[in-house]
Amino acid sequence: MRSTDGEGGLIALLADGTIAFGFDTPQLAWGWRRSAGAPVAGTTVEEAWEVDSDAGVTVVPGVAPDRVDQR
Amino acid sequence: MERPDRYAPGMPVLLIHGGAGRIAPHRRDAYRHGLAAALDAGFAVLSGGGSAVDAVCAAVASMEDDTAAFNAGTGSALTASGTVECDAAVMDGAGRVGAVACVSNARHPVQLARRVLDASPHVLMVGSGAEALEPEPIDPKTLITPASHAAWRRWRAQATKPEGSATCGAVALDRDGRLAAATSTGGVLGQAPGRVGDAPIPGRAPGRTRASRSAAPVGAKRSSGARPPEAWRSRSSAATIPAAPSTTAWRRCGPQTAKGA
Repeated sequence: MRSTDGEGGLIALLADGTIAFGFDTPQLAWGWRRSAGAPVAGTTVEEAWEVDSDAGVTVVPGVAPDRVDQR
Repeated sequence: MERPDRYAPGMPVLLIHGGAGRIAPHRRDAYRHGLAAALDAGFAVLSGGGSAVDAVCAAVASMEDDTAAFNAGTGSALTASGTVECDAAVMDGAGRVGAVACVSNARHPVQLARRVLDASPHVLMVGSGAEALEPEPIDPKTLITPASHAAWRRWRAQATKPEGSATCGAVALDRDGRLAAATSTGGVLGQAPGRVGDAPIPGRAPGRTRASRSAAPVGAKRSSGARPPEAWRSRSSAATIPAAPSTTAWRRCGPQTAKGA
């Protein structure tokens, strides 16, 4: 996504479930939702959505490091 | 020991955006409402065991139907001629792409892009050729809302060049670990008819990295002024870092691998 002024942003999702989004434009409307606590979805979810004016890059980690070690 | 508050393989994820740029304060609640509705639409697909491609299309179609907030589908920004011309694209994790540009007869341009992906040997189709694939063509005037027409009248009275821009998009990871992304936009208010932006261009708007399992810029904390919303501050472990440098790490590439260009 990019404004006509050349500013913009990016959303990204990695295969390990990591969520990342960032922007350097005045605002970004974003949201995410993912299941939590059960491999079968529809039970517990974590989520957020916002019209954000705080430019930067935000990362919501996916698989926890200790879980990675266990695999 | 299980960590029920953390993501694990097999748990679906949906990430969406409803546009970047200047969003008027009095419209922010409409954006928030539309974002929640899009998350509901897309995550319902994932929760039912649907594919990532189906989920991103559902989420983006929800935003295309939203007439109060997003610049896509119904309520899109109008061209200099006062018409609607929509662009959209869908990409799966294997790099297969379907995209359309300058289409005016589709209620859901993202679903038309999906038809290009699934039912054509092509990647990007434009104008009348793309519109011919629409199974349920609509009157283009139905995509114009009172608000989008009023914005166009104001632009025509005052502006001398195209202005504003916003694209809707979604990325999803389904239960089987498949990734997909989709984008949709009405373009720029006052754009010349026939103008195509970057939203439907593979590798520009929808894209993927070859090192997606390891390229995440994770771990640093935002240096100052961090304001994570209450919703995730209490429920997840978001990490934030300063703007700019890390975005360059997400090098995108989009060459077709499963379909010929």
